This record gives sequence, structure tokens and C-alpha cells, in this order.
Amino acid sequence: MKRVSVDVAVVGAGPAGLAAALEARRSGAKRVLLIERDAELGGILQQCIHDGFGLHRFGRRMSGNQYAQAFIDEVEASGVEVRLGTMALEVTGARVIYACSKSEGMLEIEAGAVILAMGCRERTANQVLICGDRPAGVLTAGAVQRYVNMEGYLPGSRAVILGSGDIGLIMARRMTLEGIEVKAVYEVMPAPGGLTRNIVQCLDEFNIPLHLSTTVTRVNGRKRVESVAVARVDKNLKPIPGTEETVGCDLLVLAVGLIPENELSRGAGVALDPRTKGPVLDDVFMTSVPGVFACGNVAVVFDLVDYVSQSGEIAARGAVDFIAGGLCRQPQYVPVEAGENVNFVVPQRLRHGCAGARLFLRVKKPLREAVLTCESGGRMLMQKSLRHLAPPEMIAFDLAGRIGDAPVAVSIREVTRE
Amino acid sequence: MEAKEIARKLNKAFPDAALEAELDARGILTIRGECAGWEELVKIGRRAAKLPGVKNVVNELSAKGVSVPRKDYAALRAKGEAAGTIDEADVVIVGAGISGCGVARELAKYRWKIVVVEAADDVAMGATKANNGNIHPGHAVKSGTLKAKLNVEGNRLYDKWAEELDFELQRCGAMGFVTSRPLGAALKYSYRQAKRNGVAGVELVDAERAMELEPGLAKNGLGPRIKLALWLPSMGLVEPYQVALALAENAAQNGVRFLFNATVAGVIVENGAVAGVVTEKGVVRARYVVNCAGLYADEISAMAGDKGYTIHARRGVIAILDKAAQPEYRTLCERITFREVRRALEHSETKGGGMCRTPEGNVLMGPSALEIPDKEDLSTTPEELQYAMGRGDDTVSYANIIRFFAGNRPADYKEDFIIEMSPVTDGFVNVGAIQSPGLAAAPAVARMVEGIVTEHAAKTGRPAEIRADWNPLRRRRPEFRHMSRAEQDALIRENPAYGKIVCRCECVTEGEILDALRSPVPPGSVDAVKRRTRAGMGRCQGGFCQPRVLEIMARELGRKRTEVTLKGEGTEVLLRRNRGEEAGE
Amino acid sequence: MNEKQFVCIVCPSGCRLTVWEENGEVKVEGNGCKRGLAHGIGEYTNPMRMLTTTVAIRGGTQPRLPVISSGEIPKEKLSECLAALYGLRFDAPVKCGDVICENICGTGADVVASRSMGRAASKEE
Repeated sequence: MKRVSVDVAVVGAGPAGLAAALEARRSGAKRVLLIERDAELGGILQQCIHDGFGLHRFGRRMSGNQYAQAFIDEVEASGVEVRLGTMALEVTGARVIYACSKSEGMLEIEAGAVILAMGCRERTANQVLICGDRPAGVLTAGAVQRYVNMEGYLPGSRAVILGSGDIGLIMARRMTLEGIEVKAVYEVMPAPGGLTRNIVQCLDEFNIPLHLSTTVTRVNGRKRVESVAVARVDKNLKPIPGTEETVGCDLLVLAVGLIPENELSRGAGVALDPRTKGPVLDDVFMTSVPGVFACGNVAVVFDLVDYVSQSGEIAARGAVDFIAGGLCRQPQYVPVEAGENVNFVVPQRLRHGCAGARLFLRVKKPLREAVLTCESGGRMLMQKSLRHLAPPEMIAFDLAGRIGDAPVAVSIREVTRE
Repeated sequence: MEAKEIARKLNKAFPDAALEAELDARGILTIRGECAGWEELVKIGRRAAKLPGVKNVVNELSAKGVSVPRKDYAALRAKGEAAGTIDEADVVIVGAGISGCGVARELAKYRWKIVVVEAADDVAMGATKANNGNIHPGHAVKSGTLKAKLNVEGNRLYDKWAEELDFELQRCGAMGFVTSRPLGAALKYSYRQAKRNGVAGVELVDAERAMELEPGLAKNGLGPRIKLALWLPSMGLVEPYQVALALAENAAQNGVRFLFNATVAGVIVENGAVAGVVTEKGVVRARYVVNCAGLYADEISAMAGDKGYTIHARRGVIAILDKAAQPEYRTLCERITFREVRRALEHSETKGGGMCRTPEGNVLMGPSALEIPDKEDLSTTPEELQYAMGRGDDTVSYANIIRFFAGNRPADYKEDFIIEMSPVTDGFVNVGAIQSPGLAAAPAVARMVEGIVTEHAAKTGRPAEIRADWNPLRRRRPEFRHMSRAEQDALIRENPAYGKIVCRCECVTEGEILDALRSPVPPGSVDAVKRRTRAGMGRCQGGFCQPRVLEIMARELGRKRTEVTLKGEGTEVLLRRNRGEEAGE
Repeated sequence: MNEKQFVCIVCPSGCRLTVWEENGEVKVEGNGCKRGLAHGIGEYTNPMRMLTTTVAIRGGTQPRLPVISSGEIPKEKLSECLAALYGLRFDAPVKCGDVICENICGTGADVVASRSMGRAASKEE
């Protein structure tokens, strides 16, 4: 077995891993190893041919490929060691990674710090408990995206999309442009999951109807999908009897959510947050296992790739600090509490005495006008007015100032005007 | 009892039905007429089968408002006859489920030419595939039945099968326990039945011994509350399709041919003896036809002129949970509650299964049990899923489901196996109504059929001869996920294809997929690759690996990507190329 | 007077815009800000969109090459541009930013490769 020893090992070369590897080099780590199971860098961005990426970071609208390419070009010039076609099979709590590839066999990688950047996976038809037949023609949006955008094949002629998250909306437009008739998008929740912009540009513009509070209850078709049954749902998201309708189609596309891919993290003994389904992180995005960091969608499902890259950079700086001995091995933490209207906050805890942190949160419900507050031990750390908040859109902000030993409560209070 | 009296009795018991009965010399009762609904149709069949003098029931009742779909055998037969004779064999086995594959493997030791014809595109596609993989000890089967005999015998023979065929068999043992003293009677009843059936190692144990056998009971605090427990050390676990595959591959190694996508549409009978089958692909002539057609065994038997039983579908929904949801017990351990006992008494044939696990470590829930009219209806319903999930303990959550599916068990009305040389058509052997515990009984079923055929052959002056080159051994192919890091390293060095992980959830390599594609009974669809390698069986359900598996299959099999199917003809994953691409590749 | 409805997309508030022409002047109602006004006028007079799709590529590490327009192009020209691109064939290698189609359909925008793609080493890496 080949043994390799590095300062920082990054698992996964999507946007989070690319940014983390680069930042680790920039921050002075000598040997930075980036391992990627695919034959090329970029991760899922390589199948995101649509534009809308990078507005925050690059100030222009790029496609996913362009955004990835910008980082890939930098990584290739940065001295980051890249191992493609290499799959991490195990990460231990002692920061040893076992990974294999065709050319090198099994690798035992000893790392000063490990940055987990494995991304997420899609929820499936089974996971949302769609009953009925199990024919060909039931695919996740990501799989359809890969077939259409990377491989150049179409998996259907008439599609129904379940889920109005951005991936579902983007695929509605993409399939339409490729000649697949998109019959409708169904969303179980009373509000759309994706950005208004995407609803306008991907659905309205192509006259694709969006049905809210409606879900697919059944797939029909023994060999290939012939139709799906859809039904309106009540407040508890349960189908309302008598509202069922049958919609003819040969493809059901599922855009029903993403789940952080934390199997390796679990193996390393990393504590997970049941709300984000990602590791419990601190202000430098270190997990509960010293020296093991996490960033990008494995940490929490982000909405913008710009934030994904940012999280990679935060983790990388933390990792470099860790190997330099700048981080306490057993830090004292204060929790970050999700208060009023806040679904979750990442990171979930901060080190005593740290000089602030970048926080990411999602709200529980849409709010037109609101005030974000961070309080700790009766002290107001910050206060900020916000407008047009919605659960699909993450809120990112910097919490400045030294953190004491009292919990930090993050709340968003609605401002009502008459 | 005479037919007239039977009809009177049944009409009285089911006033909504109008039925006639006919009883032949063999004790086969045929019921015709109309009844109120499907449920009643099944109930009448069951009631009739319990009447004295009735060997089995042919249920030709129609149920109001229920149309029972039938295969268009005439068209398939015409197609097959037009193709003419495509093969001549000594033995044709109809159906490549656990029974058909078991029989094929057993008979492969003789100097016979054997052809297995299968309607689906792979082995194990019927009841076998959608089975919970329990190798039942044989305590739950009514004493004195063929089922009981073959269940116990089959269970015992599994060790030999697992050793020779190298599939995973885990003798996990099973325990039923009660925490209320009166319910102990139910366990004592099971114990006595187990003893009568000859179940090996069965014991009634106390709380202390129960906790020794199942450490999980001490951990969850139930152990000290146990009043009595029934311990069945012979309970085993397998992946049923892996067993069928191992059998099929060993059979194929020994010269057995498999003909897939070949629905049997006719049985050729000449002078009272079977002479072959007409499949949709052509005629295969043979001296013996062994009917292991599962849900269609009754229809195949009728084609051979022997209408002796009716099979109806008993659907079961199974849910597989994420490996992260660890089973609480090492054994198959179940607390018997009053509800359980009542369920068992009320639905002796149909209560379905509870919570267990697969040999790979996934918790498996179900199957449920529901009698349905359409043998091909493998759809799931929320109610059946709930039934399957409802039998677990509180630790089981819907959020852990990674997959659920349905399978149809082939049930007759006598609820016993039918294994015999047909008294009507010589050379035609029925292996019918093989449902639970058909998987456990499979080795014994295969032996019994072997006995029937070889005895007949000996009697008719053409005794079977053992092949000198018969090889009973089949080795499993490398399973990367079960190896140590050093072994994995060595394997990749030997063949770099093992260094590429195709399915990330189940850790399946390209090498394993290539091995499967080059195996003795090669897979023809993405799902068939999945059953052989586990690629796509994990939590992402192929979201990641399906495009990659598809690409490998297209490359290896020399097919266009648009020709690779999910599960046989008509299930192509990709329909056409993007706009602007040339047709084809 | 040709009245049109749009949902404004410049910010997440999603104002419903009504736009019409009156005496040669484009009027917008329902906007919450100046950017919304501009958006409404733009959508009414000359809606523009980015074009993204893929084109066939030979000998590359992937069978399709993603492309993007260098700037927005008139919405009504999108189908024509897509049709023009579907007919094209390229050979690897390609660098991100390489012009695939100059001044596509006279829109003034170029269509460029949105990633770099090397040549495939062999059939299987």
C-alpha cells in the first residue's frame, strides 16, 4: 500500500474543495492534496451549463462550467497536488484517509488536517415515498442534467417535474430547449422552492405551469412511465382524497431536495447536526473531530456557489492554522442558537474568544421586512435590517467582535408596518 | 364430500355468490360462477380447500367488477411455432426463480441436456427477488404438510449449498419472546410444532439465556422482562437473488442453457407424454418439462392438460432501510405481543413478515400480504408500505427508507407445495405454489424433483448417468467492499479496473461490473447488474452510478446507450440523443 | 396600447409589473424601485437573455462541450441561435473562452466555450 503524507488533504474537487485547496496553499500550507473521484475537476458544476453563478465573487453571470474553470485554472497553477480518479473510502479520526485509484491502488494518506468537501446527493422517489409502479423513466434532476448536458442523451419525451427547487426549474427550461415537453412542475409546499428569477425565466417564459401544494402520489406504467397521479395536499402535506388527477408523461424528474453526503464524516466519528444533516461546525468550520474540517454542501446545502467557495476558504484557513498549532486542540465552545424565525445557523458553535465568524442561516418562513439580531449574554453583538427573506435563500453575514463565554442567539424579528 | 354438497355448503357460506362445483377422481375441486368481489373469491377458494376430500382447488369464479388480466398466449404461441424448433433437450425447466435454478443445478450433474426457459430477462425476477431472504427454521409451518418437511430439510441443506456455491449465508438464529406470562402459551405451541417438524436446536429459554443469545435484549432493557423465549438457532439470512444467481451460474458452468425473454405459451403433449414447450422464441423439445413457473405454474400446468390448482398473487411490499439505521438485534428477534398472536391466528396464511435485515446489514421491513387479482401488478400502495413498516419497533423511521418495492407470491388455495409428476401428462413435473418458505425449502425441493425425474428415467429404461466432469463448486467473484485495505490494494494491482469505484454508496468497482458482465449468466440490464454487484442498491439509488453503469454496459456489450435497458425490453433509460446529434453513436 | 405583465426579477421581492406604451413612451406600474423600472422597460422593448447550451465535440474527454454567449442576446433570436449551434462540430482540445461562433446570427454576441476540454487519452483512461 502506497503511503503519502501531506499537510492538508481535501476530499472532493467541486467548488468547495477547489476553493479550500487553493486557499490552503495561499495560506502557506506546503503539501496540499486534492483528491477527486471523477476524471476531472469541478464536481457537479461541470454539468451546470446554465448561467447565474459567480455574481458575488466575480461580479458577472457565469455558467457553472466557467465558474469551475476559473478555480481549476488557478488550482493547476498553484502547486496543489491533484489526484483524479481517486476515491476516498475512509477517513479516520486520526486524519488518515484511505483512497484508491486505478493507477496507484490503495493509498494511505496521512494528513495534518483533513477538509471534507464531498458535496451532497439527491433525494429519490423512494425517499419521498412515491408509490405505484417502478418503471424506467423515474430519475433525479441531477441524473437528467448529467445525461442531457454532459452525455448528450434525452431520457424522455414528455416530462413531469416534482419539486420547484432551482435544479428542477433549471431542468424544466433545459429539457424544453432540447425538445422534451415539460407538462408541469409540482411542488408539495405552498411556496416555490426556487428563486423567483428562475420561476420567471425557466417556467413562465415557456408556459410551464407550476402547481403549488400539489404532489405526485403514484407512478403508473409497468415498463416505462405512462402517467403519474398528482393530488393536492392539506396543511400537513397529506394528499387530499378526491383531488387526484392523472397526468400523462414518460419521464418523472425528481427535484425534491439534497442531502449532505456525510458517510465518510460519520466513519471519522464526526458529530452531525440533525437539522443541516452536516457536521457540527465551529467558526473555522472544524468538525467535532480535531483537525477534520468540512465545507460546501457536505456541511450544509448552500444556495449559492459563491458561499460554497467561501466556506471552503474558511475551512482552509482553519486547517492551516490547525497544522501550525494556532488552534487549540480542545477548544471551549459557545453554542450559536437558532432563535425566532431561524431554521438553523452554520456554524453551530464558536470558540471562546474567537474574533467573530461568518454565519450562514436560513429562515423558517418568508419575511418581507425583518431585523436580524445576534445577542450574547444580554449583549447585542449586531443588528441588521433585511428585506425579502425566504427559506430558499441563505443569509450570510459576518459577526464581528470577540466572542465571550455566553451562547450567541441569532434571531430574525419580523417588522410589520401598516 | 360430493360436489353437490360442496356447492351447497359454499353457497350457504357465501350468500352473495352463485357457484357450481365439480370434483374429479383426484380430488380436484373446480369452482365456477360469480361472486361479489376479489376478496370473497379468495375466501371461497380457501374455504373450499379445507373441505374433506378436496386435494386442491381450481378457482374459476369471476368476481364482480374485477377483470383479471390474462397473457395473450395464442399470439405468443403463434410466434413461437412460426420460429420452429430452436433447441432439443432432455429436460426443459420453465422458470428461473429459486426453484427453477435449484432444479437446474441439481439435474446438471446428469448427462442430460437441460434448458431453462424464462419469461423475464434475468433469473430471480418473480417471487424470488422480492423475498425477505429468511431461511426459516420450519417451526411456523403446519405439521404433516409437504411444506413442513421440505422447509426443515431445505434449511439443513443450506450450509452445503452455501459452501459449494459460495454465497453469503448467515445463521443468525431467531428468537421470539414474550413479556407477559399468558402469551407464553403461543411460544409453547410453536415449540411443540417445531419439535414435531424436526426443527434442529429449538429450545424454550428463560430471560437470562435469552440475553446471552441476544445481547441487544440486555441493552434495550427488555431482557429482564422476558417471561419466556423461543430460540431457533437454525434461522438464516441470504440475499435470495444471490442464491438463485449462484445456482444458475453453477448450472451454466455445467452446461445448462438459459433462454431469457421466452414466455412459455404452450406445452407439447404427444400420446399422453410431454414432448416440449412452445416459447415465444421458438419450440424447445424435451422428454421432461419441470414446471417452476411461479405465479404462472397453474397456467403452464393447464397447458400440459393438467388443470389441478389455481395460483393467485399475494403481494408483499418490502422496505429497505439505510445502513445507517443499524438493526437493534444480532439475531432476528421479535417480541410477540397479543396483537401479533391475534394477527397470526386471524390471518394464518397472510400475515406477512416482520423486521429483519439483509446479509449486507440493511434493516428490511415486511413484506406485507395482500391478495390481488393481477399477477403482474407489482405496484406499491401507501397502505401496504405502512403495513410493512408498522411491524418494526419504534427505532424504525420512514426517513430511513432507501427503497421499497413489491413482489407477488404464488399462492394456491391449499397453501402447500405441489411437487409431483403429473398423473395426467407423463414427464411433466409440477413444482407449484412455491411461496414462503419456498426459499428455505429450495434445496429440498430441488432434491425431490431430482428424485422424481431420475426414478422415472430409471423406470422407463433410460436411467440418468452422472457426468464425469460435473463440478458442484462455484466461486463468488471479488467483492471489493468486503476486503481489507491490503487485499483491495493487491486486487487493484492485479487488475486496475478494481481501482475505479463506480457505485459510491455500496463501494462497487468497475472491475466487479466487468466481472458480472463476463459471468456465466451475464446480466442484460442495469437492474440485472445491480443484483449481481449491488451497484445502485444504496442510498442514492443509482443517481450517481446509473449513467456510469450504463456507459460500461454499452461499451462492453457493444450496444448503443439508447439500447441499454433498466429492466428488460421496453425499459430503455435513454430514448434518443440531444438535438443536433447524429442518430445513433 | 399593448399592455404586458411581468414578474420583476431584479430582487427577490418579485414585484408584478404592468408595462404599456403611451404616446411613444413606455410606462411601468407596480415596480418597487428604479431597477424594476428599467427591467420593465427592457422586458417590454427588447428582452435579452443569456444563451447557454452544449455543442458536439469530437475526441474530447466528454462528448458535449458547454457553451455560453459572451453577452445577452435578444430573446426572440434564441431559437435561431440554438439551431445554428446544433449544426456545428468541434474537435478537442478547446480552451475556456475560445470562440465557437462569432457574432451569432448577427446578434453581436459571440458564443464561447464555457470550459476547457482536453483530448481523451484513449477510449478508456
